[in-house]
Amino acid sequence: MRWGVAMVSIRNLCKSYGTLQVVNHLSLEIGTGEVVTVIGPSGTGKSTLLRCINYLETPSAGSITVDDLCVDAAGAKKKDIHRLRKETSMVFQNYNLFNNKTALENIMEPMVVAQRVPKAEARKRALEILEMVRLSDKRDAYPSRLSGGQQQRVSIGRAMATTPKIILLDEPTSSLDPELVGEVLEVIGILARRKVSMLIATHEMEFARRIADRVVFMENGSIVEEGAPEELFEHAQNERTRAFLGRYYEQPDRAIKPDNTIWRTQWQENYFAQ
Amino acid sequence: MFDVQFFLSLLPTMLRYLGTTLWISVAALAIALLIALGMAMAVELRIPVLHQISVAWKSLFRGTPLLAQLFWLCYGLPQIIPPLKSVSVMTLLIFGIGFNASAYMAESLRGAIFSVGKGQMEACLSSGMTTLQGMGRIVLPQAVRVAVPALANNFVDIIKQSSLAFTLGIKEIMAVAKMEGASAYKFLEAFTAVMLFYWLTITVFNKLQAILENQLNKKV
Ligand SMILES: Nc1ncnc2c1ncn2[C@@H]1O[C@H](COP(=O)(O)OP(=O)(O)OP(=O)(O)O)[C@@H](O)[C@H]1O
Ligand SMILES: [Mg+2]
Repeated sequence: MRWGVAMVSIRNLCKSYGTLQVVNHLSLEIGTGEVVTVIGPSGTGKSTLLRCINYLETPSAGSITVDDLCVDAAGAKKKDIHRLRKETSMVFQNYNLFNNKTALENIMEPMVVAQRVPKAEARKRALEILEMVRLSDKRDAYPSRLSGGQQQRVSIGRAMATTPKIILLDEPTSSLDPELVGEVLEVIGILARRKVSMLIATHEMEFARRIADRVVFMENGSIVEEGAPEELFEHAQNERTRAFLGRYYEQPDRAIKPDNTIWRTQWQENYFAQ
Repeated sequence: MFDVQFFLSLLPTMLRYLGTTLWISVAALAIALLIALGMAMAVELRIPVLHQISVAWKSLFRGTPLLAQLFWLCYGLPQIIPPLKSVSVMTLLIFGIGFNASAYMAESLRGAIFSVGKGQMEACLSSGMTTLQGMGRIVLPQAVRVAVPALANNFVDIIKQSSLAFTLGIKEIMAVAKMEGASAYKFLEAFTAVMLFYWLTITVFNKLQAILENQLNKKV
């Protein structure tokens, strides 16, 4: 399987609800196999940005290009929107697994229904993916029998199944109990190492920094600053970025000074050591 | 007082006409379910025109008495649509009860679809499935499971409402009871038999419903 061979570029994207401008002339490029994390205050438009790229929200203006497919908000055709959705895939904060399907069926479903992959082949691929997210033993379990962390790993598997050009993850760990965060971050780490293009909105600063090739700081619907993780976290140029990161460093339970990562677990030691 | 002999002698005849009652009920149920599903889709997917028609339909059939609807359909409508005159009263009655029930069943379905939530539909769309595929494969199967108790109640209502058929001159158990009771002047026995038949039918149906719900709940 080949993942993340696309170039995604977003130009002048705008989204407003009534008079509220939530995404404001935002432009962003994501290279092949690149992992970009989006950080920023609550209500800043991170989720909206991701949802617009997947066309779950209809942008008010601007364009989204994935490879040779360009969807412009002015005159987007139904057919193109459908194609865009096939080439992008979303991982939701609340997993949104199909509750009437087992773990295995959840991963097979988009392949079989949206891509018309023959059942046997879809099953084979789904089993491989389950193995990758370490849930082979849960393949026949319905979502109601899975922990939040397990559900989120299935949902990541489901997003991968259709080999989208980019996976959009919206706060993939923020509904999880702290002890389950690690296993999900680990799976995202596996995707990153396999060079799957990802755009991740997150409040996990340590994670945002470690996994990213590039970090984007967003505020009030615009990108304030972006750069390599060390650059942005250590030497932010913009005052607002520094203020935002400062707030994070100051929260005692969010203390993430490089050698004071209180929430880092054993798997992370293993993963980040590689 | 209570003529047991007469009561027992009524049962075989009434059992035969129970068939008519059940036929009316099941046929009306099929019509109601089909229309209700269509309306739930039209409303859920905001299909223009069909959406508005559904809303008006629900309001009309829930906002007027069934008996008035049946008379309007069987006696009123044929006056402006002559071809309806050659349609049997039985058929019109089944459609009438079905139309009425469809309005209630659409509401039951709508609530159930709402309870599934929009997250799973978004997941469908996000992975490249169409709205129809998402509805058909993910949302509706879950909604139907949630809706079974409410839909079953709607069906019990249909069974009871089928007793209105006698007002249109159709011979089902209610009509038979009335005739037999009148000819022997033994209404107590006759209508006790009616009560018993309805009660047994609905009790059996409720048992079936419980089994169905059990089966459905295994797959979650
Ligand atoms: N459907 C909607 N209608 C009206 N306003 C909305 C809607 N969805 C989002 N908003 C508003 O858009 C703004 C941005 O929301 P968004 O969810 O994108 O922020 P976010 O950066 O993801 O925040 P968080 O970090 O809390 O998840 C918020 O002010 C929110 O209230
Ligand atoms: Mg958000």
